[in-house]
Amino acid sequence: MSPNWHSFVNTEGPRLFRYFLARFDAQTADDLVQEVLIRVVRKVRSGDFDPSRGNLAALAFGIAHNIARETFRDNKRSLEDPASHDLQDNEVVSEISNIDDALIQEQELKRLRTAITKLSTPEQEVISLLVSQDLPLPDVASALNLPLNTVKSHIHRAKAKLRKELTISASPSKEPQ
Amino acid sequence: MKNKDNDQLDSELNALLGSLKNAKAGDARLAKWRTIVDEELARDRASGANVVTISFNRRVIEWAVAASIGFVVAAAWMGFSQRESQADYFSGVDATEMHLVAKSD
Repeated sequence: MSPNWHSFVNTEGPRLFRYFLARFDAQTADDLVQEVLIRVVRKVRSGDFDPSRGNLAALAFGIAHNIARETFRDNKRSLEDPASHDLQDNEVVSEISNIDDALIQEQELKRLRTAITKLSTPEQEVISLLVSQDLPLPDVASALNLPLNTVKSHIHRAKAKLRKELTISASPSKEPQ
Repeated sequence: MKNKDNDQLDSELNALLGSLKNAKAGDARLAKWRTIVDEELARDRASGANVVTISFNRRVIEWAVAASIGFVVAAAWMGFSQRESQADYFSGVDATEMHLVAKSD
């Protein structure tokens, strides 16, 4: 009847975190995960959603999708000042014992997110979903309410842009920012 | 064939998005999120209990009001019916008969 909330948090929490982390800094991603969890609990407890009849993870990602859109629309937490997020991103990799590995991963994460935020909004949404969970493309398409071919073309374009962006940012001579 | 395309797509994306896919939320965050969910559930239960208490109190008041209205209506009806029965008792007696009865007494 009532879902096992702790196992739900343990399973979906990290996925939601990665979903938001694709576009927001670690602190914001953390805040947004909390917001999603609270909204999911309220939705279930109010009786608007029956967990025995629907997929709780799908509900969570539907809410996450809306929250990400709202947050972008508000334009308050977007990645406009990457330098300000360096400290917060340290938290994501702080569990890595080897300090060199942690630094490398931190830099990679920052570069990747900067590249993702340069994609169009639909491309960002597709990539965020792919990052957060290993969904087959038809599921991504249905989650975003888009035709499968549209999702594939978003991925192709996003991939090309990411490849280009990451190559540029990896090159030290072309790193004026 | 399509699956192969998807696999290739996934493998290339995996390579590109590796650092994000490997990002860990961390045990501290997970513990915090579990606490937040627990707090939200507790808050929801508490507000549910309040709703029950409020509705119970309200129901008691409603019953009290309904009972007092019922009492007033019943008392009025009994008074009216009593007066009506007295009127029925004396309805067939005219003034002369009343006079004779009074005189014989």
